[in-house]
Amino acid sequence: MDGPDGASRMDRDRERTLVDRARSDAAAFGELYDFYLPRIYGFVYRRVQERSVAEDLTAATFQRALETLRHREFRNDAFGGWLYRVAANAVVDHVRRGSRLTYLDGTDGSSGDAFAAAVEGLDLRAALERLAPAHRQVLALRFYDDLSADEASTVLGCSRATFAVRLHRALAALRGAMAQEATDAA
Amino acid sequence: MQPDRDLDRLLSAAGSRARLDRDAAPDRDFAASLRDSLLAQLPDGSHEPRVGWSLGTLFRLPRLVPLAAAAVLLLVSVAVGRDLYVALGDHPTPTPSPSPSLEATPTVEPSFSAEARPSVSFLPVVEPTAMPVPEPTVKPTPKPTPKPTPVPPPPMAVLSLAATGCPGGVVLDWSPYEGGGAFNHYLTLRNTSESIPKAYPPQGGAVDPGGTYSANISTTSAVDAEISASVTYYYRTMAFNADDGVIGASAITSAVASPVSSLGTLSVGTVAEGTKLAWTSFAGGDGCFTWYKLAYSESNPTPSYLGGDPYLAALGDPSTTSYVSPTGEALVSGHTYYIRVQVIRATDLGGFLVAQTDVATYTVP
Repeated sequence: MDGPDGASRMDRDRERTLVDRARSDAAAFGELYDFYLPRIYGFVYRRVQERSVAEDLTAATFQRALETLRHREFRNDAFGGWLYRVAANAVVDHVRRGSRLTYLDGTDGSSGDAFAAAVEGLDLRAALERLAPAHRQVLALRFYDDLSADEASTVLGCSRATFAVRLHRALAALRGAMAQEATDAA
Repeated sequence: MQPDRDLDRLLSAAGSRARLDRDAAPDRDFAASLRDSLLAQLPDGSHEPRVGWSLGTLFRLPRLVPLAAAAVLLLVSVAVGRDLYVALGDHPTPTPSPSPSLEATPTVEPSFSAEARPSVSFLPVVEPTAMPVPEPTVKPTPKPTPKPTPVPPPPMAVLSLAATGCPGGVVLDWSPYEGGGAFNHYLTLRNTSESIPKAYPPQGGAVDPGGTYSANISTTSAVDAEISASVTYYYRTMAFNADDGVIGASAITSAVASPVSSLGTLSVGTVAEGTKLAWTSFAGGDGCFTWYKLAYSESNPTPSYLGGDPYLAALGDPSTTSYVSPTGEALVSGHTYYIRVQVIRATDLGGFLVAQTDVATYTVP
Protein backbone atom coordinates (compact mmCIF):
# COMPACT_ATOMS: atom_id res chain seq x y z
CA MET A 1 0.00 0.00 0.00
CA ASP A 2 1.50 3.28 -1.04
CA GLY A 3 1.71 6.30 1.14
CA PRO A 4 1.21 9.93 0.22
CA ASP A 5 4.38 10.12 -1.84
CA GLY A 6 4.60 6.74 -3.47
CA ALA A 7 6.57 4.17 -1.49
CA SER A 8 4.95 3.59 1.87
CA ARG A 9 8.23 2.85 3.69
CA MET A 10 11.64 4.36 3.30
CA ASP A 11 14.39 1.87 2.58
CA ARG A 12 16.10 1.16 5.90
CA ASP A 13 19.63 1.54 4.59
CA ARG A 14 18.72 4.77 2.84
CA GLU A 15 17.10 6.05 6.01
CA ARG A 16 20.16 5.23 8.12
CA THR A 17 22.40 7.03 5.65
CA LEU A 18 20.18 10.10 5.63
CA VAL A 19 19.91 10.17 9.42
CA ASP A 20 23.67 9.99 9.69
CA ARG A 21 24.16 12.81 7.18
CA ALA A 22 21.26 14.94 8.41
CA ARG A 23 23.25 15.98 11.47
CA SER A 24 25.09 18.45 9.32
CA ASP A 25 23.57 18.18 5.86
CA ALA A 26 20.48 20.22 5.10
CA ALA A 27 19.77 18.26 1.92
CA ALA A 28 19.70 14.96 3.81
CA PHE A 29 17.37 16.34 6.44
CA GLY A 30 15.26 17.81 3.65
CA GLU A 31 14.84 14.37 2.09
CA LEU A 32 13.74 12.88 5.41
CA TYR A 33 11.38 15.83 5.87
CA ASP A 34 9.87 15.48 2.41
CA PHE A 35 9.23 11.77 2.94
CA TYR A 36 7.84 11.93 6.45
CA LEU A 37 6.01 15.29 6.49
CA PRO A 38 2.78 14.07 4.86
CA ARG A 39 2.82 10.93 6.97
CA ILE A 40 3.40 12.67 10.29
CA TYR A 41 0.95 15.43 9.43
CA GLY A 42 -1.71 12.86 8.52
CA PHE A 43 -0.96 10.85 11.67
CA VAL A 44 -1.45 13.99 13.78
CA TYR A 45 -4.41 15.38 11.84
CA ARG A 46 -6.36 12.13 12.13
CA ARG A 47 -6.13 12.53 15.89
CA VAL A 48 -6.71 16.25 16.43
CA GLN A 49 -8.99 16.97 13.43
CA GLU A 50 -7.93 20.62 13.34
CA ARG A 51 -5.61 21.95 10.67
CA SER A 52 -3.80 24.66 12.61
CA VAL A 53 -3.27 22.39 15.62
CA ALA A 54 -2.01 19.62 13.37
CA GLU A 55 0.43 22.06 11.76
CA ASP A 56 1.76 23.21 15.13
CA LEU A 57 2.22 19.68 16.46
CA THR A 58 3.82 18.57 13.19
CA ALA A 59 6.19 21.54 13.30
CA ALA A 60 7.08 20.74 16.91
CA THR A 61 7.75 17.11 15.97
CA PHE A 62 10.14 18.00 13.18
CA GLN A 63 11.80 20.68 15.28
CA ARG A 64 12.42 18.01 17.93
CA ALA A 65 13.79 15.69 15.27
CA LEU A 66 16.14 18.37 14.00
CA GLU A 67 17.44 19.20 17.46
CA THR A 68 17.91 15.55 18.37
CA LEU A 69 19.79 14.77 15.18
CA ARG A 70 21.87 17.92 15.37
CA HIS A 71 23.01 17.15 18.89
CA ARG A 72 23.73 13.52 18.03
CA GLU A 73 21.26 12.33 20.65
CA PHE A 74 19.45 9.99 18.30
CA ARG A 75 20.17 6.39 19.24
CA ASN A 76 17.15 4.59 17.89
CA ASP A 77 17.68 2.44 14.82
CA ALA A 78 14.26 3.23 13.35
CA PHE A 79 13.95 6.95 12.64
CA GLY A 80 10.42 6.69 11.26
CA GLY A 81 9.05 4.87 14.29
CA TRP A 82 10.80 7.29 16.60
CA LEU A 83 9.29 10.23 14.71
CA TYR A 84 5.80 8.74 15.08
CA ARG A 85 6.49 8.26 18.77
CA VAL A 86 7.45 11.93 19.20
CA ALA A 87 4.32 12.96 17.27
CA ALA A 88 2.17 10.66 19.41
CA ASN A 89 3.67 12.19 22.56
CA ALA A 90 2.91 15.67 21.21
CA VAL A 91 -0.71 14.73 20.44
CA VAL A 92 -1.32 13.18 23.84
CA ASP A 93 0.30 16.16 25.57
CA HIS A 94 -1.89 18.51 23.55
CA VAL A 95 -5.05 16.61 24.39
CA ARG A 96 -4.20 16.28 28.06
CA ARG A 97 -2.63 19.66 28.69
CA GLY A 98 -5.85 21.30 29.81
CA SER A 99 -6.83 18.63 32.29
CA ARG A 100 -3.35 17.71 33.53
CA LEU A 101 -4.56 14.21 34.29
CA THR A 102 -2.44 11.21 35.11
CA TYR A 103 -2.49 8.63 32.37
CA LEU A 104 -0.66 5.49 31.57
CA ASP A 105 1.67 4.98 28.70
CA GLY A 106 -0.05 3.92 25.53
CA THR A 107 -3.54 5.14 26.35
CA ASP A 108 -4.15 7.01 23.14
CA GLY A 109 -7.85 6.35 22.84
CA SER A 110 -8.36 9.01 20.21
CA SER A 111 -6.65 7.08 17.41
CA GLY A 112 -8.67 3.92 17.92
CA ASP A 113 -11.87 5.90 18.33
CA ALA A 114 -11.13 7.91 15.19
CA PHE A 115 -10.52 4.72 13.24
CA ALA A 116 -13.81 3.24 14.42
CA ALA A 117 -15.62 6.45 13.56
CA ALA A 118 -14.08 6.63 10.09
CA VAL A 119 -14.85 3.06 9.10
CA GLU A 120 -17.83 2.90 6.78
CA GLY A 121 -18.93 -0.70 7.15
CA LEU A 122 -21.50 -0.76 9.91
CA ASP A 123 -20.68 -4.28 11.10
CA LEU A 124 -16.97 -3.57 11.28
CA ARG A 125 -17.51 -0.19 12.87
CA ALA A 126 -19.82 -1.57 15.54
CA ALA A 127 -17.38 -4.39 16.24
CA LEU A 128 -14.47 -1.98 16.57
CA GLU A 129 -16.44 0.10 19.01
CA ARG A 130 -16.99 -2.98 21.16
CA LEU A 131 -13.23 -3.49 21.59
CA ALA A 132 -11.12 -2.36 24.52
CA PRO A 133 -9.25 0.91 23.75
CA ALA A 134 -5.90 -0.91 23.83
CA HIS A 135 -7.07 -3.30 21.06
CA ARG A 136 -8.46 -0.43 18.98
CA GLN A 137 -5.21 1.45 19.36
CA VAL A 138 -3.12 -1.44 18.03
CA LEU A 139 -5.46 -1.92 15.07
CA ALA A 140 -5.49 1.80 14.34
CA LEU A 141 -1.71 2.06 14.28
CA ARG A 142 -1.43 -0.92 11.96
CA PHE A 143 -4.36 -0.37 9.60
CA TYR A 144 -5.45 3.26 9.95
CA ASP A 145 -2.01 4.84 10.19
CA ASP A 146 -0.49 2.10 8.03
CA LEU A 147 2.59 1.84 10.24
CA SER A 148 5.01 -1.04 9.92
CA ALA A 149 5.48 -3.39 12.85
CA ASP A 150 8.76 -1.64 13.68
CA GLU A 151 7.13 1.79 13.65
CA ALA A 152 4.07 0.74 15.62
CA SER A 153 6.13 -1.07 18.26
CA THR A 154 8.26 2.05 18.67
CA VAL A 155 5.16 4.18 19.13
CA LEU A 156 3.91 1.80 21.81
CA GLY A 157 7.31 1.48 23.48
CA CYS A 158 7.36 -2.31 23.15
CA SER A 159 9.34 -4.86 21.20
CA ARG A 160 8.32 -5.98 17.73
CA ALA A 161 7.48 -9.44 19.11
CA THR A 162 5.24 -7.93 21.78
CA PHE A 163 3.49 -5.85 19.14
CA ALA A 164 2.87 -8.96 17.06
CA VAL A 165 1.27 -10.66 20.05
CA ARG A 166 -0.87 -7.60 20.80
CA LEU A 167 -1.96 -7.35 17.17
CA HIS A 168 -2.90 -11.02 17.09
CA ARG A 169 -4.94 -10.61 20.27
CA ALA A 170 -6.65 -7.49 18.92
CA LEU A 171 -7.60 -9.29 15.70
CA ALA A 172 -8.94 -12.21 17.70
CA ALA A 173 -10.95 -9.82 19.84
CA LEU A 174 -12.29 -8.09 16.73
CA ARG A 175 -13.28 -11.42 15.19
CA GLY A 176 -15.14 -12.24 18.38
CA ALA A 177 -16.80 -8.82 18.42
CA MET A 178 -17.94 -9.27 14.81
CA ALA A 179 -19.42 -12.66 15.64
CA GLN A 180 -21.20 -11.09 18.59
CA GLU A 181 -22.51 -8.32 16.31
CA ALA A 182 -23.92 -10.94 13.93
CA THR A 183 -25.55 -12.78 16.83
CA ASP A 184 -27.07 -9.61 18.24
CA ALA A 185 -28.38 -8.58 14.85
CA ALA A 186 -30.07 -11.96 14.26
CA MET B 1 -5.00 -18.16 10.58
CA GLN B 2 -7.09 -17.54 7.46
CA PRO B 3 -9.67 -15.46 9.37
CA ASP B 4 -6.88 -13.14 10.49
CA ARG B 5 -5.81 -12.61 6.89
CA ASP B 6 -9.39 -11.86 5.89
CA LEU B 7 -9.63 -9.38 8.69
CA ASP B 8 -6.30 -7.88 7.62
CA ARG B 9 -7.71 -7.22 4.17
CA LEU B 10 -10.95 -5.87 5.55
CA LEU B 11 -9.19 -3.51 7.94
CA SER B 12 -6.63 -2.40 5.35
CA ALA B 13 -9.43 -1.52 2.94
CA ALA B 14 -11.28 0.35 5.67
CA GLY B 15 -8.11 2.20 6.64
CA SER B 16 -7.44 3.20 3.03
CA ARG B 17 -10.94 4.60 2.68
CA ALA B 18 -10.66 6.46 5.97
CA ARG B 19 -7.32 8.03 4.97
CA LEU B 20 -8.79 9.52 1.82
CA ASP B 21 -9.83 12.57 3.79
CA ARG B 22 -8.29 15.39 1.72
CA ASP B 23 -7.75 17.53 4.80
CA ALA B 24 -5.21 15.03 6.06
CA ALA B 25 -2.69 16.38 3.51
CA PRO B 26 -0.50 19.25 4.69
CA ASP B 27 -1.00 22.66 3.15
CA ARG B 28 1.73 23.44 0.58
CA ASP B 29 2.60 26.84 2.04
CA PHE B 30 2.88 25.34 5.49
CA ALA B 31 5.08 22.52 4.22
CA ALA B 32 7.38 24.91 2.36
CA SER B 33 7.63 27.44 5.21
CA LEU B 34 8.39 24.77 7.78
CA ARG B 35 10.94 23.15 5.49
CA ASP B 36 12.77 26.42 4.95
CA SER B 37 12.68 27.23 8.65
CA LEU B 38 14.09 23.83 9.64
CA LEU B 39 16.78 23.60 6.99
CA ALA B 40 17.98 27.11 7.73
CA GLN B 41 18.92 25.91 11.21
CA LEU B 42 21.43 23.36 9.96
CA PRO B 43 25.08 24.35 9.61
CA ASP B 44 24.96 24.29 5.84
CA GLY B 45 21.67 26.08 5.69
CA SER B 46 22.45 27.28 2.22
CA HIS B 47 20.09 24.68 0.83
CA GLU B 48 18.76 25.06 -2.65
CA PRO B 49 15.16 26.13 -2.78
CA ARG B 50 12.97 23.36 -4.18
CA VAL B 51 11.56 25.61 -6.88
CA GLY B 52 14.15 27.89 -8.34
CA TRP B 53 14.64 29.84 -11.52
CA SER B 54 18.01 29.93 -13.18
CA LEU B 55 19.20 30.31 -16.74
CA GLY B 56 19.65 26.55 -16.99
CA THR B 57 16.18 25.95 -15.68
CA LEU B 58 14.80 28.48 -18.11
CA PHE B 59 16.24 26.77 -21.14
CA ARG B 60 15.35 23.30 -19.91
CA LEU B 61 11.72 24.23 -20.06
CA PRO B 62 10.37 22.79 -23.33
CA ARG B 63 7.86 25.53 -23.84
CA LEU B 64 10.64 28.12 -24.05
CA VAL B 65 12.85 26.24 -26.49
CA PRO B 66 11.14 27.54 -29.67
CA LEU B 67 11.42 31.09 -28.38
CA ALA B 68 15.11 30.65 -27.63
CA ALA B 69 15.72 29.13 -31.07
CA ALA B 70 13.89 32.00 -32.77
CA ALA B 71 15.98 34.50 -30.88
CA VAL B 72 19.22 32.83 -31.97
CA LEU B 73 18.09 32.64 -35.60
CA LEU B 74 17.11 36.26 -35.53
CA LEU B 75 20.45 37.37 -34.19
CA VAL B 76 22.32 35.28 -36.74
CA SER B 77 20.24 36.49 -39.66
CA VAL B 78 20.61 40.11 -38.66
CA ALA B 79 24.34 39.79 -38.21
CA VAL B 80 24.81 37.97 -41.53
CA GLY B 81 22.62 40.42 -43.35
CA ARG B 82 24.49 43.39 -42.03
CA ASP B 83 27.88 41.84 -42.82
CA LEU B 84 26.73 41.00 -46.34
CA TYR B 85 25.52 44.50 -46.92
CA VAL B 86 28.73 46.05 -45.63
CA ALA B 87 30.86 43.70 -47.74
CA LEU B 88 28.99 44.34 -50.94
CA GLY B 89 28.55 48.03 -50.66
CA ASP B 90 31.22 50.69 -50.77
CA HIS B 91 29.64 52.86 -48.22
CA PRO B 92 30.38 54.17 -44.81
CA THR B 93 29.91 52.04 -41.80
CA PRO B 94 26.48 52.63 -40.50
CA THR B 95 26.10 54.66 -37.40
CA PRO B 96 26.22 52.41 -34.42
CA SER B 97 22.85 51.88 -32.90
CA PRO B 98 21.31 49.28 -30.68
CA SER B 99 21.49 45.84 -32.22
CA PRO B 100 18.26 43.95 -32.53
CA SER B 101 17.79 41.35 -29.89
CA LEU B 102 15.20 40.00 -27.54
CA GLU B 103 16.27 42.65 -25.12
CA ALA B 104 15.67 45.42 -27.60
CA THR B 105 13.55 48.28 -26.50
CA PRO B 106 10.43 49.04 -28.44
CA THR B 107 12.20 51.89 -30.32
CA VAL B 108 15.03 49.80 -31.71
CA GLU B 109 15.85 50.41 -35.35
CA PRO B 110 17.87 48.14 -37.59
CA SER B 111 21.32 49.70 -38.01
CA PHE B 112 21.14 49.29 -41.79
CA SER B 113 17.87 50.95 -42.47
CA ALA B 114 17.25 52.48 -45.90
CA GLU B 115 17.57 55.95 -44.48
CA ALA B 116 21.08 55.31 -43.27
CA ARG B 117 22.37 53.89 -46.53
CA PRO B 118 24.03 55.91 -49.27
CA SER B 119 22.95 55.38 -52.84
CA VAL B 120 24.24 52.24 -54.50
CA SER B 121 24.77 52.78 -58.22
CA PHE B 122 27.26 50.15 -59.23
CA LEU B 123 25.39 47.22 -57.92
CA PRO B 124 21.86 47.84 -59.00
CA VAL B 125 20.77 44.31 -58.31
CA VAL B 126 21.32 44.77 -54.65
CA GLU B 127 18.25 46.53 -53.59
CA PRO B 128 17.62 47.48 -50.05
CA THR B 129 14.48 45.43 -50.06
CA ALA B 130 16.55 42.33 -50.75
CA MET B 131 18.38 42.69 -47.46
CA PRO B 132 17.36 40.37 -44.68
CA VAL B 133 15.49 42.90 -42.67
CA PRO B 134 14.17 41.42 -39.48
CA GLU B 135 11.33 43.87 -39.26
CA PRO B 136 8.55 41.64 -40.55
CA THR B 137 9.29 38.90 -38.03
CA VAL B 138 10.06 40.84 -34.93
CA LYS B 139 8.37 44.09 -34.40
CA PRO B 140 8.37 44.88 -30.77
CA THR B 141 5.25 46.64 -29.75
CA PRO B 142 5.85 49.53 -27.47
CA LYS B 143 4.37 48.78 -24.12
CA PRO B 144 3.75 51.37 -21.53
CA THR B 145 5.84 50.87 -18.46
CA PRO B 146 3.53 49.40 -15.84
CA LYS B 147 3.16 51.72 -12.95
CA PRO B 148 3.25 49.77 -9.72
CA THR B 149 0.25 50.40 -7.62
CA PRO B 150 1.46 51.63 -4.28
CA VAL B 151 0.64 49.00 -1.66
CA PRO B 152 0.20 50.46 1.78
CA PRO B 153 2.18 48.65 4.44
CA PRO B 154 0.04 46.34 6.56
CA PRO B 155 -1.12 47.88 9.80
CA MET B 156 1.25 47.03 12.64
CA ALA B 157 -0.41 45.56 15.71
CA VAL B 158 1.27 45.50 19.10
CA LEU B 159 1.90 42.14 20.77
CA SER B 160 2.97 41.79 24.38
CA LEU B 161 5.72 39.29 25.10
CA ALA B 162 6.89 37.74 28.37
CA ALA B 163 10.15 35.75 28.42
CA THR B 164 10.72 33.58 31.50
CA GLY B 165 14.15 32.17 32.21
CA CYS B 166 13.99 28.63 33.63
CA PRO B 167 16.49 25.87 34.28
CA GLY B 168 17.20 24.50 30.81
CA GLY B 169 15.50 27.12 28.66
CA VAL B 170 13.29 30.14 28.19
CA VAL B 171 9.47 30.19 28.03
CA LEU B 172 7.95 32.70 25.62
CA ASP B 173 4.34 33.83 26.08
CA TRP B 174 2.78 36.47 23.90
CA SER B 175 -0.64 37.99 23.35
CA PRO B 176 -2.64 36.88 20.31
CA TYR B 177 -2.64 38.97 17.14
CA GLU B 178 -5.76 41.12 17.04
CA GLY B 179 -4.96 43.46 14.17
CA GLY B 180 -6.82 43.70 10.91
CA GLY B 181 -4.16 42.12 8.71
CA ALA B 182 -4.28 38.69 7.10
CA PHE B 183 -2.54 36.61 9.76
CA ASN B 184 -0.40 33.77 8.49
CA HIS B 185 1.99 32.80 11.29
CA TYR B 186 3.96 33.83 14.36
CA LEU B 187 7.71 33.70 14.69
CA THR B 188 10.01 34.83 17.48
CA LEU B 189 13.54 36.04 16.78
CA ARG B 190 16.44 36.14 19.21
CA ASN B 191 19.63 38.10 19.62
CA THR B 192 22.36 38.42 22.22
CA SER B 193 22.16 42.20 21.92
CA GLU B 194 19.11 44.40 22.27
CA SER B 195 18.56 44.73 18.53
CA ILE B 196 15.94 42.78 16.61
CA PRO B 197 14.59 44.60 13.54
CA LYS B 198 10.94 43.98 12.69
CA ALA B 199 11.70 42.02 9.56
CA TYR B 200 12.17 38.54 8.12
CA PRO B 201 14.67 37.12 7.22
CA PRO B 202 16.39 38.14 10.48
CA GLN B 203 18.65 41.17 10.30
CA GLY B 204 21.22 42.87 12.48
CA GLY B 205 22.54 39.73 14.13
CA ALA B 206 19.13 38.38 15.12
CA VAL B 207 18.44 34.69 14.50
CA ASP B 208 15.47 32.37 14.25
CA PRO B 209 15.98 30.10 17.28
CA GLY B 210 13.67 27.46 15.80
CA GLY B 211 10.55 26.01 17.31
CA THR B 212 8.53 29.21 17.51
CA TYR B 213 6.79 29.06 14.12
CA SER B 214 3.05 28.74 14.54
CA ALA B 215 0.26 29.01 11.99
CA ASN B 216 -2.35 28.95 14.73
CA ILE B 217 -3.40 32.43 15.80
CA SER B 218 -4.36 31.13 19.24
CA THR B 219 -1.06 29.33 19.87
CA THR B 220 0.77 31.98 21.84
CA SER B 221 3.55 30.25 23.72
CA ALA B 222 6.76 28.55 22.75
CA VAL B 223 10.10 27.66 24.24
CA ASP B 224 13.72 28.28 23.39
CA ALA B 225 15.95 25.49 24.59
CA GLU B 226 18.83 26.19 22.23
CA ILE B 227 20.62 28.51 24.63
CA SER B 228 23.52 28.69 27.03
CA ALA B 229 22.89 29.11 30.75
CA SER B 230 23.64 32.48 32.35
CA VAL B 231 23.62 34.37 29.05
CA THR B 232 21.13 37.21 28.50
CA TYR B 233 19.02 36.67 25.40
CA TYR B 234 16.68 39.19 23.80
CA TYR B 235 13.46 38.23 22.00
CA ARG B 236 10.85 39.80 19.78
CA THR B 237 7.72 37.97 18.66
CA MET B 238 6.17 38.99 15.36
CA ALA B 239 3.02 38.16 13.43
CA PHE B 240 3.41 37.82 9.66
CA ASN B 241 1.18 37.77 6.62
CA ALA B 242 1.66 35.21 3.85
CA ASP B 243 4.33 37.37 2.19
CA ASP B 244 6.45 37.49 5.35
CA GLY B 245 5.33 41.06 5.92
CA VAL B 246 5.29 42.00 9.58
CA ILE B 247 1.76 42.83 10.71
CA GLY B 248 2.35 42.70 14.45
CA ALA B 249 5.34 42.90 16.75
CA SER B 250 6.20 42.91 20.41
CA ALA B 251 8.74 45.02 22.19
CA ILE B 252 12.13 43.39 22.85
CA THR B 253 12.21 41.34 26.06
CA SER B 254 15.15 39.61 27.73
CA ALA B 255 15.60 36.45 29.78
CA VAL B 256 18.41 34.43 31.36
CA ALA B 257 18.22 30.66 31.76
CA SER B 258 20.01 28.52 34.35
CA PRO B 259 21.41 24.98 34.11
CA VAL B 260 19.08 21.96 34.28
CA SER B 261 18.28 21.17 37.94
CA SER B 262 18.75 17.86 39.72
CA LEU B 263 15.94 16.15 41.61
CA GLY B 264 18.38 13.78 43.28
CA THR B 265 17.89 10.06 43.58
CA LEU B 266 14.86 8.15 42.29
CA SER B 267 13.83 5.32 44.58
CA VAL B 268 12.06 2.34 43.01
CA GLY B 269 10.48 -0.57 44.88
CA THR B 270 7.72 -3.13 44.75
CA VAL B 271 4.34 -2.64 46.45
CA ALA B 272 1.21 -4.78 46.29
CA GLU B 273 -0.23 -2.82 43.35
CA GLY B 274 2.90 -2.76 41.27
CA THR B 275 6.15 -0.78 41.05
CA LYS B 276 6.41 2.35 43.16
CA LEU B 277 8.59 5.33 42.22
CA ALA B 278 9.41 8.11 44.72
CA TRP B 279 11.35 11.36 44.26
CA THR B 280 11.87 14.85 45.66
CA SER B 281 9.40 17.44 44.43
CA PHE B 282 10.40 20.21 42.03
CA ALA B 283 10.75 23.57 43.78
CA GLY B 284 11.38 25.80 40.80
CA GLY B 285 7.96 27.42 40.51
CA ASP B 286 4.88 26.84 38.34
CA GLY B 287 6.17 29.00 35.52
CA CYS B 288 8.83 26.42 34.70
CA PHE B 289 6.73 23.31 35.31
CA THR B 290 4.25 21.50 33.11
CA TRP B 291 4.75 17.78 33.83
CA TYR B 292 6.66 15.15 35.60
CA LYS B 293 7.37 12.61 32.89
CA LEU B 294 8.33 9.17 34.18
CA ALA B 295 10.54 8.09 31.30
CA TYR B 296 11.73 4.50 30.99
CA SER B 297 13.54 2.23 28.58
CA GLU B 298 14.83 -1.30 28.39
CA SER B 299 17.67 -0.37 26.06
CA ASN B 300 18.55 3.28 26.68
CA PRO B 301 20.53 3.74 29.93
CA THR B 302 19.62 7.45 29.92
CA PRO B 303 15.89 7.45 29.17
CA SER B 304 14.59 10.76 27.92
CA TYR B 305 11.03 11.87 27.25
CA LEU B 306 12.18 14.51 24.77
CA GLY B 307 14.42 11.94 23.15
CA GLY B 308 11.32 9.92 22.29
CA ASP B 309 11.47 7.24 24.98
CA PRO B 310 8.12 6.08 26.37
CA TYR B 311 6.95 7.09 29.82
CA LEU B 312 4.91 5.51 32.56
CA ALA B 313 2.90 8.62 33.39
CA ALA B 314 2.64 12.37 33.00
CA LEU B 315 1.82 14.07 36.27
CA GLY B 316 0.66 17.68 36.21
CA ASP B 317 0.90 18.50 39.92
CA PRO B 318 4.37 19.70 40.98
CA SER B 319 3.75 18.62 44.59
CA THR B 320 3.48 14.95 43.54
CA THR B 321 6.37 12.87 44.86
CA SER B 322 5.40 9.28 44.08
CA TYR B 323 3.65 7.08 41.55
CA VAL B 324 2.71 3.40 41.35
CA SER B 325 2.86 1.71 37.98
CA PRO B 326 0.34 -1.17 38.04
CA THR B 327 1.86 -4.57 37.45
CA GLY B 328 1.67 -5.66 33.83
CA GLU B 329 0.65 -2.28 32.39
CA ALA B 330 4.04 -1.16 31.13
CA LEU B 331 6.72 -2.73 33.30
CA VAL B 332 6.78 -6.47 32.81
CA SER B 333 7.87 -9.00 35.40
CA GLY B 334 11.38 -10.31 34.84
CA HIS B 335 12.49 -7.37 32.71
CA THR B 336 15.08 -4.75 33.69
CA TYR B 337 14.36 -1.06 33.07
CA TYR B 338 16.18 2.23 33.20
CA ILE B 339 13.83 4.77 34.79
CA ARG B 340 14.01 8.44 35.68
CA VAL B 341 11.65 11.27 36.50
CA GLN B 342 11.98 14.40 34.39
CA VAL B 343 10.40 17.83 34.83
CA ILE B 344 9.33 19.17 31.45
CA ARG B 345 8.16 22.67 30.59
CA ALA B 346 5.98 22.15 27.56
CA THR B 347 3.95 24.15 25.08
CA ASP B 348 2.26 23.05 21.88
CA LEU B 349 5.35 24.25 20.04
CA GLY B 350 7.77 22.15 22.05
CA GLY B 351 9.28 21.75 25.47
CA PHE B 352 12.55 21.49 27.31
CA LEU B 353 14.03 19.59 30.19
CA VAL B 354 13.95 21.56 33.45
CA ALA B 355 15.05 19.03 36.04
CA GLN B 356 15.51 15.30 36.46
CA THR B 357 16.39 12.58 38.92
CA ASP B 358 19.30 10.22 38.58
CA VAL B 359 18.59 7.10 36.52
CA ALA B 360 17.39 4.08 38.52
CA THR B 361 17.95 0.58 37.18
CA TYR B 362 15.23 -1.82 38.29
CA THR B 363 14.29 -5.41 37.58
CA VAL B 364 10.59 -6.11 38.07
CA PRO B 365 10.18 -9.22 40.28
